[in-house]
Amino acid sequence: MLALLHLVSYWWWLSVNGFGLILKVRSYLRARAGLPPVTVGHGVLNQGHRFLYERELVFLHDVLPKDAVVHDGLQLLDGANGRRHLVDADVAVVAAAPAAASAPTFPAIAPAAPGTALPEPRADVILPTPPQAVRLAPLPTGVPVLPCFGEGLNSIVRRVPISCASRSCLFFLSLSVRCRVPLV
Amino acid sequence: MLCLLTLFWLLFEQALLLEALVSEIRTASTSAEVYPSAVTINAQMLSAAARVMKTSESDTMEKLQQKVMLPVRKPAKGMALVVAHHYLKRVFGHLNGSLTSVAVAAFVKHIHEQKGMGSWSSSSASSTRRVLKLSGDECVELLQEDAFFTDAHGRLAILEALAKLIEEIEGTSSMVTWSGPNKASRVIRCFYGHFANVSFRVCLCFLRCMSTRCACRCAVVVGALLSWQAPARFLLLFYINWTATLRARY
Repeated sequence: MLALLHLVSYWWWLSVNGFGLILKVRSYLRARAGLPPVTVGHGVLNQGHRFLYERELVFLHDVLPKDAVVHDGLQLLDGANGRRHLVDADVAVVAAAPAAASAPTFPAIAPAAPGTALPEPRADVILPTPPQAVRLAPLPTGVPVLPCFGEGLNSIVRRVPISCASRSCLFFLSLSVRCRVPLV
Repeated sequence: MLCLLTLFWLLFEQALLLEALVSEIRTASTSAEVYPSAVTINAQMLSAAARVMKTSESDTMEKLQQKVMLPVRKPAKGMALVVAHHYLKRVFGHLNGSLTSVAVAAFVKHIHEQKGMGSWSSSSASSTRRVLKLSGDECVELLQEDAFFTDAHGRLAILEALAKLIEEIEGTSSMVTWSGPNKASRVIRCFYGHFANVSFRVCLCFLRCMSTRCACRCAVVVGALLSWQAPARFLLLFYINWTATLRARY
């Protein structure tokens, strides 16, 4: 009977106080052992959504065109760069900056910086690709957006609703480009 | 008096830090620089604070780690001791939040015009402010197979959001050009990171809507909405005037 009472009271104590206490003890032990905190990103000085941003960078790498020409009104200036989706390059850059040496001395950042460092995506890491290949759908016709320049000027003429005069201008321009005739 | 002076210092530092962060995002040349890391923010904060306080960086760092009396809202409205650099770093959170709302608002507005998704509603009958809301199912539809940037309409809306975000970081003159006959075609020249910056914000908003399964307030389109940078930029004008006066006087 006494043992049962003991058990019930222990259960009650554990359910009311125990989990918080265990969490506190665990976090204390982890902090003393120099391990990263379990609750990453609490407080005011966390990494924000940087991790999501890095994930998006890796994901979009296979979707967006890998060249630096205009596609549907968007030109990615570093599109041809094979390392455009990697962010580990900035570690070296920031370490070289003079202020970086003094930055980790902030008390709130210093314990978090080595521990909460997110796993940097590397070139050899293969993410699970979506079951169907993601493809960019063609834009509807009549949208005033410049298509790929590789298709030549005819595609502009075809897609963009323009006046007759400018159409003929474009026609002569394309002729001069094709026949390599100087315009003036 | 000293408390007020500290507050003014911090406000000027916030304005300078915001300016520095915006220009950092605008002039980024790699994907990593588009989303400033904690180290970058620390460095920018130190330089901004050193410029305002006119002290060396080591002195500034000591000062920033001290607690100062500042106005707070929690736990109660009033004054409290706050670590100075915590107060400064809130700028980045505010900037992030406003960039997200700008991108998502532009996206939802455009997708509403193109595909008729979302519905207008107002919070109360007497309120004149109307809010465009996407339902949870519409968010699921947009998220399926990443239709929000692979689908034709979704991609146009993302480009619109990208243009708005670039406008917000004041990069329109350098990154957006209008070409073609009658300047009808817009070409956005930006880095890969800028596109990812927009798409992950939109995706995040949709995921949030889906998880709550309720209509989300994705865009506040009609109604007075102060731009995030208005007060800070206003202060910056004062700062420039102030320093100019000081230089003229001494």
